[in-house]
Amino acid sequence: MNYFKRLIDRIPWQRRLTVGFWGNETEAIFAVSLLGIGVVVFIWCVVTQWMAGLVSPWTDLVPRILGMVFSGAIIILGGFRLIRALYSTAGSPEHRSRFLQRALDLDYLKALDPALTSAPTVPKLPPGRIGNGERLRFRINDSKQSRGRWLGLAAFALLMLGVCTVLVAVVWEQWEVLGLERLLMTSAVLVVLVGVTGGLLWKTGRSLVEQIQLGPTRVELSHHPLVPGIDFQIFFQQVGKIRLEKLGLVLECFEQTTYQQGTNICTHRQTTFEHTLIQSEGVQLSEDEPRHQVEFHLPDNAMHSFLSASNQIGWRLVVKGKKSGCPEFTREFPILVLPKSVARP
Amino acid sequence: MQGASTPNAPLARLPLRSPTNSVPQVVAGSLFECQYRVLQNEGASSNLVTTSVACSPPEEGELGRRKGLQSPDSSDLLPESDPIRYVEHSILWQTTGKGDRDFGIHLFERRKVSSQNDGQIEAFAGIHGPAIFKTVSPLAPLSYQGLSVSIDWLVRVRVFLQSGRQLRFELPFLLVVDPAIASN
Repeated sequence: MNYFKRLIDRIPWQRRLTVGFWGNETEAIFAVSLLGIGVVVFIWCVVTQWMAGLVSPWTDLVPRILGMVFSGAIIILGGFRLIRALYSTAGSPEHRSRFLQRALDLDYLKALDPALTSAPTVPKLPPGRIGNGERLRFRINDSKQSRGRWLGLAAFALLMLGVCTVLVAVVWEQWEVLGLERLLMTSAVLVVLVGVTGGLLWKTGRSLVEQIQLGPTRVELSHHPLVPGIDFQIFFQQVGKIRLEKLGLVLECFEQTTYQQGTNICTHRQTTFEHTLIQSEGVQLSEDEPRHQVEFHLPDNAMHSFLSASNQIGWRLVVKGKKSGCPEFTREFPILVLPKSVARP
Repeated sequence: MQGASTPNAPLARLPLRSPTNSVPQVVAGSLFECQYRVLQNEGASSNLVTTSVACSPPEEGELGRRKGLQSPDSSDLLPESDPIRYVEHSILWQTTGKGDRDFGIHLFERRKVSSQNDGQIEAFAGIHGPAIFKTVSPLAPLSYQGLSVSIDWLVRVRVFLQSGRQLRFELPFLLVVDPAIASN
C-alpha cells in the first residue's frame, strides 16, 4: 500500500483526479456515465418489451424485466452519486454542515429540551435506562450487551443443532445410496459439526446457569446526570446464589473512535480513567447481600460525555466479578456527565 | 468496602497543554468577538492575500479590541491577478486523533464581494477593512486532549477566489468553563 501511495505522489495528475475539486469532478463524470448507461439500457428494455408485446408478449419476458430492474437500479445509483458529487462541489465543508444543521434545527423536540440545542454533542441515554431508585434517587439499568452476547451464542448453538440434526437425518435415510466413500466423508464432517455444536451448547448452558445463579445487579446514584466537581453517592447490590472469588465496582471513562482501514471500518476503545469504588474478595452472594454505599468526588477537570459520528467520550460503571473456574464476567452501566457550562449556564 | 484507585490511570481532563499566549482561552457561554482582515495588494506581477484573525472579549473602545490575541499574519502568493469572489468565516470544533475527523459548526457566515468595488461590501467581507462579528461562545463541547481523540475549537476564515481556488486561515482557541462556575 505504501508503495502505491508513493507512486501516486510522484504522479500529481493522477492524485488530482481522486481528491479535492477534481476528485469531485471525476466522481460527477462517473455518476453521469452510470446514469446514461442506466437510461439507455432501460429504454432498450422497454422498447424491446413493447415490440415483443406486439408479436408474443411472453417470449423472453423474464430477461427483459430483469434488465429493466437492473437498469433502474443503475439509474438510482448514478443519480444518487451525481447529487452527492454536486453537493460536495458546492461550497466549503462548513457551508454544507451549516446547511444540514439548519435542516436538523427544524426538530421541534429542541424547543422542549434546551440541552439538545445548547449541547448537541452531549449524548442522551435511551429511555428506560434511568429509573427511580429505592435507596437513592436514580437507578441505572445495565446495557444489554452482556445479555445480547448470551442470546447470540444461544441462537448460533441452536442453528448448529438444526444443521446437525438435518445432516444426521439425511445420512440415516440415504446411507445405502451414498456408498462407503461418501458415507465416511459425510460422517467425518458430521463428527466435527457435532463436536462444535456440543461445545457451543455446553457453553450456552453454562452461561445460562451463570445468569440464573448470578442474579440482577442494582446500581443507584444520588445524582444523574453527573457534573464534574460534585460529590455523589453510589449504591451497589449484587444478589445471587454462588460464591465469587472477586467482586468489584469500577468507574471508567473511555474514548471510542471509529476509522476506516482500507475497506474495513474499525472501532477502537480505550480507557482513559479508572477508579475502583468497591473491591471485595471471597464474596458469598445471597438474596440481599452484598450491598455497599460509597461516596465519590468527580474530579473538577473531568471531561464531559461527548458523542459525534466517529468519536465518543463516555462514562460507565462496570461491575466485575469472577467465579472460581470461570472467566471474569462484567456488567456495564452507562452514565452521563454534563459539562458545567450546560448544567449551570 | 472502599477500594483504591489505579495508580497510573490518567484522569479524563481538559486540555493538557497549559495556556500560552499563542492559544487564547474563551469562557463557555461568554460573549466574544472576532475580527479579520483580508488584504489584497495588486503588484506588478503578483497578488498577495494576507489575513489576520483576532478574538477578544468585547469591551468599550479600541483598547478592548487590541487586547485580544492575534494569529500571526498568514499570507499566500498568487501567480496572477485573481480577485476575491466571497469570504466565509466560521467558528467550529473538530476532532483529531485516531478516529475519522468530525466537526460541528457553531457560527457560519458567507459574505459575497461585489464586482463593482463597493467599499462598504468589501469592508463587510473583511477586505481593505476589518470584518467584525460577535457571538456567544458555545457551551459544549469543551476543548479536550485525550489519548486517542482530541477536541479543538477554531475560528476559520476561507477566501474564495475567482479561479476557484480557496485560501484558509485559522485561529485555534481553548473553550473552557467559567472559573467562577468551576470553583462552586
